[in-house]
Amino acid sequence: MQVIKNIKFHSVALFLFWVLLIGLLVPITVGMIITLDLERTKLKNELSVFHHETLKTLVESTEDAMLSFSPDGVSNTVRFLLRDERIVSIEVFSDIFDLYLMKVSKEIPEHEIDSSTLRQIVSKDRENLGFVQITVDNGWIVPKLKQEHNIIIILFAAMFFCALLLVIPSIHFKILRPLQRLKKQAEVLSSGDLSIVCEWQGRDELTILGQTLEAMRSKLNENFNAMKEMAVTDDLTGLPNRREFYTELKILLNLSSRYNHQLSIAIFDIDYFKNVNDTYGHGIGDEVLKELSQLVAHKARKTDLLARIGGEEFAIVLPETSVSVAGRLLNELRTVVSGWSFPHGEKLTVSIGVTGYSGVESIEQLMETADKALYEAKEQGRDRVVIH
Amino acid sequence: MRYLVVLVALWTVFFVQPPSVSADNFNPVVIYQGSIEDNPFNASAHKGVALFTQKTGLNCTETVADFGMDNYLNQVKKYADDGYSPIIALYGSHFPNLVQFVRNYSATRFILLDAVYDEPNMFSFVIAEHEGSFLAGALAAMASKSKIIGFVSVNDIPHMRRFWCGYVQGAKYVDPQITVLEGFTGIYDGAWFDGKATATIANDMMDKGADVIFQAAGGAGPAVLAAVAARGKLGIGVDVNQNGLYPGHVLTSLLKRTDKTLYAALMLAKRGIWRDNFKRLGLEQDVVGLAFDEHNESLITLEMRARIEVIKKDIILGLISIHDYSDDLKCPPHASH
Repeated sequence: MQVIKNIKFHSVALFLFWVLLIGLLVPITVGMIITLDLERTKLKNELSVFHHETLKTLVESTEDAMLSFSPDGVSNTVRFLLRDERIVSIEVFSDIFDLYLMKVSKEIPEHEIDSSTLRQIVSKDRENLGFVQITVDNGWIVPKLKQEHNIIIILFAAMFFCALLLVIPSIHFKILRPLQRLKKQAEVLSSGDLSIVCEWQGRDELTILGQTLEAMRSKLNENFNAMKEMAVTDDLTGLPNRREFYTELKILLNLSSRYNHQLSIAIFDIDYFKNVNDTYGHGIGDEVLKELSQLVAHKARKTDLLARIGGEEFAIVLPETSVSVAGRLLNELRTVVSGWSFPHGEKLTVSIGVTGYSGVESIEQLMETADKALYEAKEQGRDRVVIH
Repeated sequence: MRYLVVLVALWTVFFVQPPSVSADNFNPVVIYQGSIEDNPFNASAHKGVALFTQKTGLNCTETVADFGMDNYLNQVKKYADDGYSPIIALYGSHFPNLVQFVRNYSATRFILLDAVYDEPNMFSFVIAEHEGSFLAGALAAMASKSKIIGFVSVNDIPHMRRFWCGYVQGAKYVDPQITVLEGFTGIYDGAWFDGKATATIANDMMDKGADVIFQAAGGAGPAVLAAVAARGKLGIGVDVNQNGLYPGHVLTSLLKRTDKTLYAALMLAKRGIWRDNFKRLGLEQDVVGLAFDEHNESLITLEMRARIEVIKKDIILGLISIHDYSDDLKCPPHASH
């Protein structure tokens, strides 16, 4: 169960991670490619415009030199143009004189370069004077593009990391951490421990979910506590019931035998209680039982364990108390009860059977002995304490 | 009657003079010396004339003068007297007395190669042989193993020294420590066709350790290439592509496109446009350059070729300046970088 939960949780984080990565990487990569392509096209256009303009310039300045065949007239222009790194070669050819006015190439036969050539025929008055040819190095854009390339990559990488920097903490704090907490909360709940409080502060959906879960836990806890209470308490008197009495008694006996301390146990019973029920009805009978239990609880010491173990039968355990002391205490109790005025306006008496714990008897044996003592007390005429 | 004579005279002047001044008097003559076929330089010039004739359909007279300056000048004089214009004198630098001569023929245009004079009726084409020679020297220095190279020519005149000086500068540019041997056969009739004399000089240089020899010797040049090939060394041709004469033994040839120059000269004369009194033709016009073909492919590595192209580009762009011997008749001891 635990493992499956973990896997599921991790799959959310993993899924978010991939979505984030793909969602950011794909558009950024596409954007980068498009930008690079635009940059390349821009540079190519720039080169092409430069190529055409240079050709135009050269044509304008060579017409006269072609007519009169003056290489010197061209050479200055050509030398100037060749200073530009983009131009690889220039040819100015005169058809009239069948001779180059200028033919310069920066190209070295060793390495071929990617170049493009433009040639324009120069003519005047319909006479073909010659041609002008310029070759430019297409490779010129490569280092420029490389430079741009680096800048673009850095830019997009920065964008990518900025986006991550923004998105990852928000996902962590807003989704993954609350999710983790919710998971823990659910685990605690499912383990059955309803008493652990989990506080949530905030207004987002996950917090509300956590708060709802917390509210659910709190209600369950209340109900559970109430139910537990109900299981161990006598409804009418509020004293521990027979089951709780036996649970607690067992603990007290264990403690007593381990430390070798004295312990006394007594069972008492209202004399002629049936008459009260028959004469005044069960309602009054219940009132009487309540009154008596309050009276005894009041008189008993804090460490004594008082419980209702039957209809009008009660049991009281007196830890750290010898049988003789217990007999004296219980006799006081009996006197108080017999002197008390109960709701139906009459007096009542109780019979009490007492026995001491020597450290070896079982609960059943003890209870049986106490019960025998009670029986003897009844036999001997009630309203008395019998010690066994 | 007198008026009539004056009128007729004026008429004559009006109708007859203009045609003689106009471009219609284009009647060119090219004067060679020695032989056209045996001298590659002459042959190249003839090729240009032939191309011009073929393309324009116009006639161009070609004539061959005997050896000797006087014979040549007599030919020039004869054609000038006969009203030919322009007269193309191919060996301008060989005739110092030309200036005095052309002043007597102010109506005639003279076109010279290789020499510039400030005369209104003289036009020159200067071919930048020193730039081509620089490349030849650079390549020779790259190819040489013994680090001794040679230069063989005929007349020890400034024009040939120009080749030599460019060659030396190019060699030193590549290897400042290199030794460049030089040899001129001298000035005598038929010297430009005396292959025996040039071959002797070449053999002498090889005895001294030279393994690359550049010949700028016109008709006497092929003999140098033969001598070099016979001893398994390398030669450098001149004027035309001589790589194929002894394949594998001719490192390269200094191409000098005299044909293109002649064609341009005739075309300029025909069109009557003379903006400058001389036109300089060099590496950037492809009028001089080195020959690379299948015959010397195996002798030249890619690096050598690339380096030559870089040097050529640097010369054209002015990054390498080459001293021209004919400017001050001096050659710098160390080639400038």
